[in-house]
Amino acid sequence: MSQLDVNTDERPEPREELPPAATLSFRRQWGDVAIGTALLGFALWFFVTAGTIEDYSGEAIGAADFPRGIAFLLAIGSLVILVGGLRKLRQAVTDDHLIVVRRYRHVIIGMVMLVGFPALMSLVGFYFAMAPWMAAFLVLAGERRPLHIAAYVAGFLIFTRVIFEMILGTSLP
Amino acid sequence: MLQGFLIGLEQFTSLAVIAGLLGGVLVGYLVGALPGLSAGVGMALLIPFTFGLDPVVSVVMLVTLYMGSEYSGAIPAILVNTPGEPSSAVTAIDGFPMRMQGKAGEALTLSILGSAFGSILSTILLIFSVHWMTGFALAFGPAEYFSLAVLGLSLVSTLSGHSVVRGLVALLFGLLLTTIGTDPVDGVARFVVNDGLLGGIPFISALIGLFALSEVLTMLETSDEKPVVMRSIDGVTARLGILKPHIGNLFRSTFIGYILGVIPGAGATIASLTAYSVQRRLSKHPEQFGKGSPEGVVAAETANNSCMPGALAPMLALGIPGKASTAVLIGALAIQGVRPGPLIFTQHPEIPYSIYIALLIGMPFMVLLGLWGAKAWVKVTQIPRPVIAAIVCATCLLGTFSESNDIFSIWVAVIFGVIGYLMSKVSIEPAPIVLALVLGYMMESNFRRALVASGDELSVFVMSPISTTCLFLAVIVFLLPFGEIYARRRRLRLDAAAAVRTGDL
Repeated sequence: MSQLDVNTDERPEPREELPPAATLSFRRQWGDVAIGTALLGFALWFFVTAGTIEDYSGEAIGAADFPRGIAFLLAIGSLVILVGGLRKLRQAVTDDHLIVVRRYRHVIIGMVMLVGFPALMSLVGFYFAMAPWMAAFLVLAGERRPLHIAAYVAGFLIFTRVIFEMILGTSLP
Repeated sequence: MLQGFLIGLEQFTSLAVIAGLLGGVLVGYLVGALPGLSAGVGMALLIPFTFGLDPVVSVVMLVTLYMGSEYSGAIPAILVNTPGEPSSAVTAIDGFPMRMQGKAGEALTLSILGSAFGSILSTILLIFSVHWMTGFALAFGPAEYFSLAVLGLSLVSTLSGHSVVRGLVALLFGLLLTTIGTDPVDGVARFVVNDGLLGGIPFISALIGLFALSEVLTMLETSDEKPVVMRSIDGVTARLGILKPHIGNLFRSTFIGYILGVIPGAGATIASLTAYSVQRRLSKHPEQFGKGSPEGVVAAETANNSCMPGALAPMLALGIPGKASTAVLIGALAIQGVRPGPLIFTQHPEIPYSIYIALLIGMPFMVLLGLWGAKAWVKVTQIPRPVIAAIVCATCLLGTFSESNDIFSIWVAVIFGVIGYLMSKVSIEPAPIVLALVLGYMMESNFRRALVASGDELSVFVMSPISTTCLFLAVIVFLLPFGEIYARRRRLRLDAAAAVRTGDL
């Protein structure tokens, strides 16, 4: 959430600070090294795989050339980020910016839940997957009142049934 | 043009179109007022609701959502110092101090009326500039379109985000993703690891993942934050006279906003900041800026809202999205089988003219909602964050499925959500990726078509003056930031050397 610091001494309704929470923080350069490596690997995979594409263009620019050119440029860009990160790590820069992941366990569980949803849906269908999934997500996000959770889930499922299935004609499994 | 307006007006005799307009403004207000949800996220979430609708209803809903969200971000910015949209942060600089001085009503009135002025004037500018640009664009061939796409992408990668290299990497990542699927000229399958990718990366799924699901993961970091409590707001009026001392500011900020809106990548935040800085420089009371200057609120909000019609100009006339929101709009139109560009005025005239009319007649409704509904919109900001996160997330999953009735599209959205979140942690913005996803196909297909037509002569790209100019400008745009970095480093070195010399003396 963006919030500005405004020069004023009087604030009758001050914003509350975020409550203490488990936080994962690490040097920004480690993030650069990780993303640079991942993107470099991604670019190299495209570059190499492009070699297996059938080429009907002879000497001219063919189906493999455009992706190969872009992959080459991406490899250079990711190398710049990767090498920059490694160099700054070695230099032990003092005015280091940190990458901060607040409530990192919640974020990781959130990612796992996101990955789990399509798997669950393919097994039990949309409604039976969404009801427990949404309830669990509400709990994860911080909603603890069972009646409220039930109401939100029921409301969303009714909304889905009415808007998507009945009005818009989208059939849900 | 008159006939086009008549066609557009005819569309507004339909109740569905009017309902789309009102619904779009309402959802736009909701999205803009909720911190963390931007116009792009709101539009991405609304697209699944438009699949079964008429193209005009769909586009009117999305455009008015875009318009509504650009303004409503100012309400929480002024009242609780929490900008609903990034561009409203500039409004908060003076808006919140005004509220602290008991002038919340005046600040809100100035912001909504300034927004309305900027939006209407820039819509008029849009109508005339698109008309001119379309005539120009009809002469474009593949080489010109390729060069224009290169220029647009170069501007986006350098103007959006904090770092040129990161902007470029995001852009190249997006371009590489567009090469997945069937090749545009030979029809060869490329990088297809799953049959679902034969038609390329599903755009709506990628969009929802990059914009909305990544934002949900970010929300999880702060979903334990308590909503801000709001007290009464008095003095919100519809007195147009309140704008009288700001006439010059209004016109200036509108032009700044519109021009920066047309330039790909610049965006509403840059427009607000520029108009704010210009006004502070020209003001008779620059010392009041930052302490509750009404001029600051007017400049920021007018420019912010003028930017939006400006962003529609290259989209309508050339088919080039300059902002993430217009990329979403192009995606939504593509689903309906409508392709923006110069031919849209002959093939689907009802679309552009409905957009113009929606912007003009949606504005009074937006003003009324802003003037008399401010308190209600602040209440919206008090919806518990866990509820917002869960509803947005569930809507994303449902929306991606409804795009293709295939669970594969949910997988794509989830993967892009995680990628978008991780990239945002290292300051790689999602906007260049989304724009590249829209422009990549156009860029490659025109590049190769131009070469096929010219017998593989690369000189085809510098034979036409338009193409040459675009490529020349793209080179300048790419090199300028590096020149600035070099100059800054050189200045620092010289300063350091001077400091050492002074110390020696």
